[in-house]
Amino acid sequence: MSRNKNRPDKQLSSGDSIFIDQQEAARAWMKTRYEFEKTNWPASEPIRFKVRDTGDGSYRFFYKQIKRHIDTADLMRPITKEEMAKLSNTRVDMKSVVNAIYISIFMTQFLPNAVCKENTVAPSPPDLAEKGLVFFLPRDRREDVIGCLEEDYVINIVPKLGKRMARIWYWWQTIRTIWRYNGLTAWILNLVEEFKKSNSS
Amino acid sequence: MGKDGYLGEFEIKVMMALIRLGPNAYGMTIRRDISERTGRDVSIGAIYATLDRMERKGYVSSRKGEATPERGNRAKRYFKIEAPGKRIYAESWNAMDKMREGLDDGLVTTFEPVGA
Repeated sequence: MSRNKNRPDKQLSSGDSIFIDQQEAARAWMKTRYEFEKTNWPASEPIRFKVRDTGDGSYRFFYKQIKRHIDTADLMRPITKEEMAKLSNTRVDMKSVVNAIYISIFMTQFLPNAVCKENTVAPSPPDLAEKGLVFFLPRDRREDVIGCLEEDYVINIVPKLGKRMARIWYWWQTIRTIWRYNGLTAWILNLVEEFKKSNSS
Repeated sequence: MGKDGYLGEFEIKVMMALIRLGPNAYGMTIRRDISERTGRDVSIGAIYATLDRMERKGYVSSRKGEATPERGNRAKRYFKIEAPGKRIYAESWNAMDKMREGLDDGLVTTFEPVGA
């Protein structure tokens, strides 16, 4: 666990880790419209946030368990230097489990209307597969197809199969989709289909 | 009979999904509807290839919808059946019904075509 755990109180600053009770975090996340359950990590595991000053006026919160981060720059209402300073000066009793208060304070008091761009926290599909789709799909269908695949992946497949199997599923879908849309294969399939139809009618 | 013949089996399934889903018919929901009801995994590529083909023939039309975070902020594309699509769908079903007439082999379950 973090060195901060043993300190009676602390100030939030760049490089610090925050340990937070999952229920508290879930509540905080709910308030900010995060869909926490989608991340699928064991309930017993605390959530660890790593805070980093990006140096350009925003801060980055890194979630170790899901290897994802939120940049405050990604929040619809970015946190200001003053707010962060105020937050940094908040004294928190580290013995009371409520390190969570940190995040609750951060999310609810300082960013009451903040809504994170959810795609920054949702499990993302394999990059390479997505690049393959971008490369092979026709330009006018690219956005529709990749969007639908990603939506299915995030909403249905990851919660159902878990991340590892979901990634395999995504690759399999990618291969099948490219096969359907690739010029030559699509042409052959269309030809076969037309041939079948002309024979049947 | 339509000038392009009848709909293929998969095209009929897509049409049925479009009818069932109504205003909420887009790639992902169509794929899930077909997969859940038939128990067979269908690729999103197959859905879009079919929708593309039917759109070219004027059976369905599409419009851009809203972008959502789950889609990486990409816009949805909603599909709906147009009049020629309804016609060819009904004709395909009628042809199927005519083929079924007088058949009593216990293999075919009787059901009414949707929207015909």
